[in-house]
Formats: sequence, C-alpha cells, structure tokens
Amino acid sequence: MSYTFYIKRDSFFHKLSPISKILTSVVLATLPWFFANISWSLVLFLVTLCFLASAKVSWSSLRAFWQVFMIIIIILTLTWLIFFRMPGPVLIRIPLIEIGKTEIEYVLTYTQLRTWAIMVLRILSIAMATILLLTTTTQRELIYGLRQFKVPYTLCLIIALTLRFIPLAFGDLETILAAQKCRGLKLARVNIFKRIAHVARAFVPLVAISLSRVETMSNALDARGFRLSGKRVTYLRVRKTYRDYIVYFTLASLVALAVIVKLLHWG
Amino acid sequence: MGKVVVKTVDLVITAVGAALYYLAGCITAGFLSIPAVSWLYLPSAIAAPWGIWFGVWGVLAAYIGGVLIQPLYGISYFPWGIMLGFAEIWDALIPMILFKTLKLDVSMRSWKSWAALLISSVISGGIGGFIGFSIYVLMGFYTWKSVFTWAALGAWWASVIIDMVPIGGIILYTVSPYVTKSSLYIKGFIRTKSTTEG
Repeated sequence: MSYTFYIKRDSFFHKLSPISKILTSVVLATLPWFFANISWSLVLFLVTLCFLASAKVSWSSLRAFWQVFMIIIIILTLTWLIFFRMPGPVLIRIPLIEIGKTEIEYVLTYTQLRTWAIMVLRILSIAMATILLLTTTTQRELIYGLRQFKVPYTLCLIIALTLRFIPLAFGDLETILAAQKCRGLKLARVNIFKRIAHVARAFVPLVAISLSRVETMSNALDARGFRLSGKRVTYLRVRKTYRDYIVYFTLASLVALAVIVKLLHWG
Repeated sequence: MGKVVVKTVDLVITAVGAALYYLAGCITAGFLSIPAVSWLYLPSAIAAPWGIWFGVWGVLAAYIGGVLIQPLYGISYFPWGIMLGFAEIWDALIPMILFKTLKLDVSMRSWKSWAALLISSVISGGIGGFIGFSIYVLMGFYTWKSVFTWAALGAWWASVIIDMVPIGGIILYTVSPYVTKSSLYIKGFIRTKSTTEG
C-alpha cells in the first residue's frame, strides 16, 4: 500500500517552483467549472493531459487512480443516464415493464447525454490536475508552497507532521496485521461482523502505538526548543526560473481565454 | 474557564489523528463500490475517539484528514476537497459535544455512553452526509431528484453508524482508561491553563 504519490522524474514540471505547481493545479481544477460546453471541456481535458505528459509520469504508475476513474465514470453514468431524466430531444426509448395501465420506460435524451459527457470531462480534468500536483511535488515542497501562499505556520506544521506520520502509521498497521496473521487470523471469507471485529482489533493497538508516539514526538520538539511563535526560517530555497514564467503565461492565457469565451457566450 | 493554552503536544495529537484518519480512509477506499456507498467508513471510528479525548484538536484532525483523503476518491483538494472536509468534521464534533456536555464516561463502562455514541453517530452521519451530498450535487456527481442519490446518502449514513459505534466504541473502551490518565487527555473542549495545571 502506497502512502505517497510522488514520482521522481527529471521533467519540466518537476523543476518548477512549488508555488507554480500549486497554482497550476488550482487553475486547472477550477477552469472546467467555467464551461458548459463539450468542445471547451474537451479542450481543457486535453490541456490537463498535456501538462501531465510534460511531467513524464507514466500511465502504469497511475494504476492506483484508474480504479477511482472507473468508479467516477460509473457513478456519473448512473446519475445522469439512468436515474435522472432531463427534457430534450429523445435519442433512445426502451419500454421496461407495465404495471396496470402505467408503463415504465427508459428514456435517454440528448440533454442528458450532453450533460453526462461534460460532467465526465470536468471531473476527470480536476482529478488529473490533482494527480499532476501529487505526482510532481514532494511533501516538503508542498508545505513550502503553502507557506508561500501565507497559510498559517501552525497549520503547515500540522500538515507536515501528518504527512510524516502517515508512513509510520502504515508501517505499524502492517506489523500488527502480520502479527495477527502469524497467530492464524484469516481475513478472507469471513462475514461482515467478523470482519469489522478484525479491523477493530487491528485499530486498537494502532491507536495505542500512535498515542505513545505523540508523547515522544512532542517531547522531542520541546527538547529542541520548538516554539509556536517567532520568526520562521527554512533550509529549502526555491528560486523562480524561466520555466515558472512560461507556466504563469500559459495559465494567464487559459484564464483570459476562459473569460473571453464566457463573455462572448461561446461556452 | 481558564485561558486557552496551545501546546506542542496538541499539534502532534492533531497530526497523528489526521494521519490515522488518512490511513483509515485508504483502507476504506479499497472497500468502495461507488463513492460514499460503502458499508465500511473507518475514518469515523477514528474521528469519534479523537473528538472525545482531545476536543477541538480532534475535530481539526478530522478536517485535515478528511481533506487529505479526497484525491483517493478522485476529488481535487481545491475547491472540493477543502469544502468536503467540513462534511467530515461532524464525526468528531457531535460525539465531542455530547460526551463533554453531558460529562459521560469516556471509558464506555455505562450504557449511557454507548447510547450517546449511537445517537451521535446518527446525528453526525445525517449532517455529514447531507453536507457531503450537497457538495457532490454541486460537483455534478449526483442530482437531488435522483432516487440513486437518496440511496447513496442512506448508505453514507449507515456506514457511519456501522463503524463509529462498534469500532469507535471498542477503541474508546480499550484505550480510554490509559488516555484519561495521561497528560494528553483534554477534559473540556480545548486545553486551558486551569485544566493543564489541574
């Protein structure tokens, strides 16, 4: 089980400053909501894919996300094509059952199909924008970027500590599960109640271990003279290069295009 | 009530809670058939004890953990993840309010504590589910006019009750006697100078 999505590559996008990476993700995740038009949604989806391709992130390394994408497409299909009816030109009409004098039929309209396509492109675009940020930015860069966006230091510290604790918690859980399996525990082919009981059994020691870690970590921070107030410094120094300005120009162009399209009622 | 005190340990408590929340969310993501429709939503079993033991810091842990897990469900941090975090806080907030206001036994040795946990799971599942689904509707995942939406909302509600009461209850029953004796435990909603000195 993986706890971090960062993929080390020597790409244009990896070399950007954390501020540019966060900004790109935010703009690419926001723009799709500007358009209610298939063509523009498709253009934005392709632009996001181009950004992802520029990060040299292989499709196979994104395997964990494919399952989520499939789920998203299924849920959007169920919502917009099966369980929701919109007025408009009818494309398909299938009679299902007859109850007395009432006939229940499945009707698919053009508006439904169009809305479904826009939604799929929109949701996939914002999911890709998030993947772009997660696969190209280290946890340290992410925190640095957040600080640059004036996110309070305390909150940044909590997020940094959380990201530090996640692999530790995963390690602890693996140890607990291995210990349980050594004692003959079988997780497969058990009923729902037994499964919940097994999970609870794993979480009790996990919580206990984590709480003991809280004391160790806070004592270590206090022992090093950590204070919540005062001036903050960082080892990480990131300078903007020409790459960052190319990205800023591209993002500004995209936003300007979106505004023009909206003002002229093209999308 | 004394002056509010923020100690290093509170920040670490929040971080550990958020990490466990994330971990629970990762496990749950494997059980999903479609988003929010799962019989298992483990994060609520972590959020409840954290809210009951550590007050406001437990609620913050639920929010941060709730935001961090969103990409696992195909949802971006900005703006949806940040908004969906507010649907996650109720699993910590409601038990915290009930247990702290009614001064219930956090070790779950009385039936009143179990009843309070059950009631809080029903309330938090309902409020969290409604806020979560309102955001999903805004996103375009669901529509309020669809029966499917109400079925999925019911499943969200049920999953919170199924996980918070037995698993959260067992965690509270087993670990509370140790936590309440340690310096980590916060008696009120937040650590104050009087409770720290006491």
